[in-house]
Amino acid sequence: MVVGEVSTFSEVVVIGGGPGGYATAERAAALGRSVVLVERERLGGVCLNAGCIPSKALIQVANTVALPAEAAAWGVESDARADMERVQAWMAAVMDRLRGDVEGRMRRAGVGVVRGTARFSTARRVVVATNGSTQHIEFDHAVVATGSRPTALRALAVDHARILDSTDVLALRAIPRRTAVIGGGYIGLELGCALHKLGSAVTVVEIADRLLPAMHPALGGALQRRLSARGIEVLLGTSALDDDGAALRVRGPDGERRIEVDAVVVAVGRRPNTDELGLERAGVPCDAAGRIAVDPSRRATRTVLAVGDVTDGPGLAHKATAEAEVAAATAAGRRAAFAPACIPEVVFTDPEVASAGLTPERAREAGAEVVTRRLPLTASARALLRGDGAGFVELVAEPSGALLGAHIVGPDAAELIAEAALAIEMGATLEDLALTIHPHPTLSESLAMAAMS
Amino acid sequence: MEFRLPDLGEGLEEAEVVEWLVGEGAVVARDQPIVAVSTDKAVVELPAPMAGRVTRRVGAAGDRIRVGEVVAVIEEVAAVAVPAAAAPAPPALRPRAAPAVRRLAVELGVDLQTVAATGPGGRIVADDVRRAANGGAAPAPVAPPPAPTAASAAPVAAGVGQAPPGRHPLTGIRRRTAEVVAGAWSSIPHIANMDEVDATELLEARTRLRRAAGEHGELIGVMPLLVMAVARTLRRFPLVNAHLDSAAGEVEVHAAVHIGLAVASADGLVVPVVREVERRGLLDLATEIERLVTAARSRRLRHTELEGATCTVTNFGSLGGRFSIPIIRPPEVAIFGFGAIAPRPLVVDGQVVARPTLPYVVAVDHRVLDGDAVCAVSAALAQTLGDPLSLLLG
Repeated sequence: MVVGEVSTFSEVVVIGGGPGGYATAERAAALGRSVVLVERERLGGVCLNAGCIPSKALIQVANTVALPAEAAAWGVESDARADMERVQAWMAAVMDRLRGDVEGRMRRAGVGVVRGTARFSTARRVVVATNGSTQHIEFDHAVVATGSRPTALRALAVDHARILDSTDVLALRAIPRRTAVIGGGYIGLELGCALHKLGSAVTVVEIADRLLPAMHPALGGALQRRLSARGIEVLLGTSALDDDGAALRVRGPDGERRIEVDAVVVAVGRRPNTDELGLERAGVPCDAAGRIAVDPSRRATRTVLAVGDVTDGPGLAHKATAEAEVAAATAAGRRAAFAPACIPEVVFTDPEVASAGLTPERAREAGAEVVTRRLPLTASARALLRGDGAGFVELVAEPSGALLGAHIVGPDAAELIAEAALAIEMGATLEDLALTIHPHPTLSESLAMAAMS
Repeated sequence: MEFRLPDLGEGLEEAEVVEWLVGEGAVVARDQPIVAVSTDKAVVELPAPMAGRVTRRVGAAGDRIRVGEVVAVIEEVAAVAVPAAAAPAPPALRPRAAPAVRRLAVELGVDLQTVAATGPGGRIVADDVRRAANGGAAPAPVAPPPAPTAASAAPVAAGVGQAPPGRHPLTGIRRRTAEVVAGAWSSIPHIANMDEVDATELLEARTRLRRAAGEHGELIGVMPLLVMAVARTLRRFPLVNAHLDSAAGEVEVHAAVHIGLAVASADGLVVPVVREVERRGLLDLATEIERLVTAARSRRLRHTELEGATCTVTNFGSLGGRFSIPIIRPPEVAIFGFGAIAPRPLVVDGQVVARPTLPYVVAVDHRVLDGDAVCAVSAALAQTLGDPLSLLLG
């Protein structure tokens, strides 16, 4: 430290104010630790400002715009149009309100929020730069919760005008007439579905041989059939080559092809924000993908912990929040471990897709014998009312019946999956699910019916 | 297939059934623990040698089974014939326990794989984890002990001194303890010295070391300092760090100091051994003590960790005691006991003042050592404890 520099001390310094960071800060403060939270932009992180929340707002708008066309089949005639300027104003108001909630929670918890960019200078100190001034903060524990950013494609540099990333799509004030979406993972598909409902002709380009390649294989297949039926073009085994300002050039199983579009959305994954933290000065190693390796107590080193997208596992807000609970306990000197039985994953497409726990393949790899129970949603009266009964519920269990996984494609799958997650965490069996009386007529019945089948 | 008691090593000829982990008729997976048996002082869970149905269990809790005798009969079952809700489910991937129970296990340092489940369908419930943390066996059908009064000084483990009217067999560690202490008490002529030492400096040292140790500070209690002081004292009086072979009429003086730590577990007294105390730094020593005590309470000690002590330390102060006469564990020739540190009147510079004092006891085997040795050892120990900085002298 240079003579004259003054540093303050906080028992816990949290870097990053997203769902992982603010939850860690709030919980560590509740456990009696002094806590400073450093955020370089806005509290709430990607989730609140450019991810989960605005995307769900846009999807809700898109679903509403698309509803009249669906309802026409029920004999309802109406019309709906989206005024994107007002839509954006509404989304901004919702986000403002939620950000205010987070700020209030930090204030009530006694967490000091520092605006600026943090870098480690040692394993016990960070320097925070704010508009040219700096301050040093010493700590007993630092928790890295800096999240992730969209992965860039070298051949398709995002220019925020024609080549867009997910953040750009969420801020659109005019819907492109034709859109290509690079990436058939959950982000690309959610945005692609929403854009399609808002009137864009959408082509999804996925390099793998199925949509949602990280999930149960049958989910992507079922979703693809629905998307294709609705008019979304899906190109599998296809990679994007370049864009000439009028058309995107792709190469697929049938050779090269030009797709004339007005916008290209790049949604090919996210990479951890770990490269500008000075982690090497704190002695924290990263793997080739930039992830920080942590033990179950969330420790990377004696003094540095990490939660959320900067660590291994799915980049999901609820995973980060659950890890935050553990990191805060560890920083407060308690014994804690992050060891959930499952981390639910949800995709807000139409129909929705959701998973919790193991697929049959993963269960067998883990050495378990499995039984599966699959129920097509044509068996659910409510699913028929809600749509056309497309989709299914698949349950994966040990031969004893103990539930290992649940995989759903269908309306409100994202809501239904929570019951399955609880059942998995509690060690419930198929029989337990089947014998639990589910209300009729609901979508939730389909879980019990699948367990009974 | 008949499952016979395997050779558990260490020349043991028999083991005692502590608890059956599965019922008769249960379908078990290969390597699933089916019965807990107690050997000397460690409880071992025996895994099923094959997958199948347990058609017969031999022996109830407390029965002794010799190596090679049948413990259980397991019959192969066709996989398809296994009814869904037949029995405790084999924990193929992970123990079945709710999230709150798993968190409790982490907090208490209990490995769920070692916990005997009593919940429905083989689920581990919170009480199972707490029992494992206390090193306890299956719950005895006793009335709950009366709630401790607000005045009680130290936490008393649930169940201490509790039993319903009637005759109860001495089993497992209890039986083994009975044999050892009766032999020790009747064959060893104990002589003991008791005193108190001003613990002001000791507590100050503990506090400063804690701060200096940073995040590992919580490991540093008074106990590691006491064990280190005992080791230093033993180095100054090698004849106290010895074993008596009374049959041969010889005393074997040991070069290394391996200190046994008396740990009260729900199963009874267990004495894990810290090896080579004289070579360990304080943090290392504290970490090892923590590890051994946790393992002892959760019945996860290995046999080798219970053997080879050259001297023993008992900390009855943690149970609220002040002075007591500990029993030497043959073939050792001495034992050190420590009472609870508390503010007590002390004369300093001619004035009676309140100071934290540490009561301690040194007991030796009079066949090997005389009263002069007891007093010299006590004085040396007191000097070290009163001025813990002197531990740096080595």
